[in-house]
Amino acid sequence: MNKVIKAVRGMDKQMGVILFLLVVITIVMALDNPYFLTVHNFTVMAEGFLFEGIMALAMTLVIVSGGIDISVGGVFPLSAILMALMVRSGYNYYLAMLIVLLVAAMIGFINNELRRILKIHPMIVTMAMLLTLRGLNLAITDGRVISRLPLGFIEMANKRLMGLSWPMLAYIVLAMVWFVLSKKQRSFLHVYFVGGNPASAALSGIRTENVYRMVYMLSSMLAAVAGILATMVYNSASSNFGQGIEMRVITAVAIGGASLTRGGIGSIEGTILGSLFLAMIYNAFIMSGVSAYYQDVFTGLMLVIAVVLRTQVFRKE
Amino acid sequence: MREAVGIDKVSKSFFGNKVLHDVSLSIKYGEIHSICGENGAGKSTLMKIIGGIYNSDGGTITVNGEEASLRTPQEAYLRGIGIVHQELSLADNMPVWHNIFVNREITGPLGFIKRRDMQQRASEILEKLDMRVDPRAKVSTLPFATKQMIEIGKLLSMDVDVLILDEPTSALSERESQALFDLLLSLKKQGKAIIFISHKLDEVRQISDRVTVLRDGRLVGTLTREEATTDRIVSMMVGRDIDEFYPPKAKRRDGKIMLKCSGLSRKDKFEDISFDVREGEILGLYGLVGSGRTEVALSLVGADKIDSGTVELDGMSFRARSPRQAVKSGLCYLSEDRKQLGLFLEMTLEENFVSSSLERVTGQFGVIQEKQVKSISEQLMEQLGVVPKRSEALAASLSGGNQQKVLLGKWLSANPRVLIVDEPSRGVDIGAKSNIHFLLRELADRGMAILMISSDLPEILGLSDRVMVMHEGRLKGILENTDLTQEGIMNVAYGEVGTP
Ligand SMILES: Nc1ncnc2c1ncn2[C@@H]1O[C@H](COP(=O)(O)OP(=O)(O)OP(=O)(O)O)[C@@H](O)[C@H]1O
Ligand SMILES: [Mg+2]
Repeated sequence: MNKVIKAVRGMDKQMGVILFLLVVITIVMALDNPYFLTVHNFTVMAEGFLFEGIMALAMTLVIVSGGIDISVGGVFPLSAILMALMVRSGYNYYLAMLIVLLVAAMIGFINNELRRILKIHPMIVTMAMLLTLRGLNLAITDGRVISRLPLGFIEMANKRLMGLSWPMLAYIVLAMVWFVLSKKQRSFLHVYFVGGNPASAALSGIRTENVYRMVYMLSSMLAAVAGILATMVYNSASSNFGQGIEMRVITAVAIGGASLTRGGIGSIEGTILGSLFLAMIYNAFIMSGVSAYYQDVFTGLMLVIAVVLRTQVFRKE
Repeated sequence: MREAVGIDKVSKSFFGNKVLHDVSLSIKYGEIHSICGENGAGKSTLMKIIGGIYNSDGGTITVNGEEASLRTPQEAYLRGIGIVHQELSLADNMPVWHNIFVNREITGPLGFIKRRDMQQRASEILEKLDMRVDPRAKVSTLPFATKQMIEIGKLLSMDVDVLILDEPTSALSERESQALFDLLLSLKKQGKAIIFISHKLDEVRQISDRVTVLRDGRLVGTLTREEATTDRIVSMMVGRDIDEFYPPKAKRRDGKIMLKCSGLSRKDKFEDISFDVREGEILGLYGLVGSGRTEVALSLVGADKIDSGTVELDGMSFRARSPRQAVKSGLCYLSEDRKQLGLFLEMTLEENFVSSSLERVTGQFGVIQEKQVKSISEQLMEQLGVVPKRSEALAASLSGGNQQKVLLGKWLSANPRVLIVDEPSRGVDIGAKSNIHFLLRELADRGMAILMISSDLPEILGLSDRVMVMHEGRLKGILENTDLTQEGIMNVAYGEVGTP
């Protein structure tokens, strides 16, 4: 018990607020509609936000490093499209996945190189990349949905392991791996140094460019993982996949306590909570019959609140 | 003794401005070698070249007799060279232990760090330095001097053979400095080469085996321990003799009480602090690291909360909600941490000078009046002796001591009624220091009330009209500065003589 109290005390205050809100929403929703608390609903709820959740893990590192990666909103549909096209033309599924991941890694690499060489803010670089990829996606698909994937693939995609869907499984594994790495792995920890004080990180001998390269490549690659999973879930792909997904991802990270204005602050556990929070809210919207249009209104609002909480209320010295 | 580092005809220019001219120097194992020189003489630049941060334009550097390429900090480290920089280089958002071991983490497979081992080693190192700090504490929560000690701990943990310390003592008080010197002497006995930079010539004379003096980027000469008298060093530094003396004391001591605090407390920081400062008076505030002196100042200007107690500013009850509001009410605070809380490093000198007094230079429709900005800057640079005297230079390009002068200028231009200065002459050379002292006295004589926090005892004694002593968050006494001695103040600080 003492340990619990200590853990709560030591916890980041913003995370505390989110946790508290999560509990309140759960209680309110459960009182309103007993169905809310069923396993089935929880699965529905989670499934609705898994792609964002996966991408938010890597986005956290980018944001902690002091940057941002908008281009994931283009990498996600591109990966789904490439996956679907390759599978349809008979590629081995696993080879196809590997190729998609490599392409994504390349995009992350280019993002970082542009940032490094042109010395422009990553926001601009990745926004340009997002626009480029959007155009590319439309060009590749000609605006059409790619469907009629081979039966074998569909069967594989619908398999379940221990009752868990592929996306669910991927999220659980990735979240755990990311959490452990962010606490224990040297290069992951260096992201915090580089974000906190780039000049002094360099003085300490950290090769800051390697750190930046790593975070942008990982960000693209997790967006590709999400894209591949999307092809598997929908048995199709389209350039329309994941409209505005980058904003939901960034919002989840911000709600989780990462600072969008200053590097060095943020955590994977926070981001996981942030994703959970948004998932729950979106689900609550659906259950209480509020129009889906309001979801974006709400996302915008949450982004502002999260940033205000971080910069004004729970400001760190 | 074997040569550790040989510097041969090293030169360096920044944007066509030559700051090191063919400097040659030999550092030996088993010696403490001090480098002296005025602000901007090129000391830090030379150290950064050895440390792999800057690349020299010409000349060679040998390490252990071999010509060495030192193009990155990592290369220097692999050659056995470690450096404590003049400006702190810790990541505030990370814990102490990790700052000490950053980029040299003890790791297992897959680059997984061994946190426990590093925490253990970190606390051993901190103990050696006589520091009581939890290695798990976040650096941002620690006072400035503690950060400085952590920086030194980081150097020790590197286990290098050549240790460079660029003004490590500028923010330390007597006691921490002595702990550091004991350690340096024992490292020297182990045969390490130590390069030490400081503007406190007493320290330099106490620990150095040899002293090298730089002036305007040129080597003036190297003195042995016996030759290195203060006078000799100073005349080599500035090219003429100067006496170190302090301005006269206050002309009037019966001015209006400008700042009055009663029973100020803040949990875990300080308790029951009461004092007042009059117009025309300089009240010195002395305390060891952790005495809560800076915390009191931060609370007064609204950067921190006050739990209880009252503050009166010019006879009116006053409680600053933010430093901005304090400045508006005429209470300014010059921070000891010039890099984090003081200067805008990426802005020009003139922008820095007027940044706290924008109303004064803003004309109709909120347009900044360039001419006025120029004239204010020129005047301040003249008064403070800022080098180079180019108001459009970036603050980041100045040497440490010159940045300190600019910071002081920033607050002078705000022309406050009450000025709190925290280590006003930190890292400033002897000549400029005296300048700053006379300037502060002149401001007081013109009616400003000044609270001067300093861990430099001679400065406290030389400049203050009264001396207030704090220890571990408590007020130990306020002493009239007549017949005061350093020992007298130390005794009060350590609580041996309890004056209420
Ligand atoms: N990055 C830089 N860009 C431009 N000029 C620089 C830069 N670094 C240093 N200088 C200039 O080089 C000269 C020497 O600076 P340096 O920092 O070596 O002085 P210093 O002897 O360490 O002085 P101090 O005692 O004030 O620390 C100064 O005139 C300074 O303005
Ligand atoms: Mg210097």
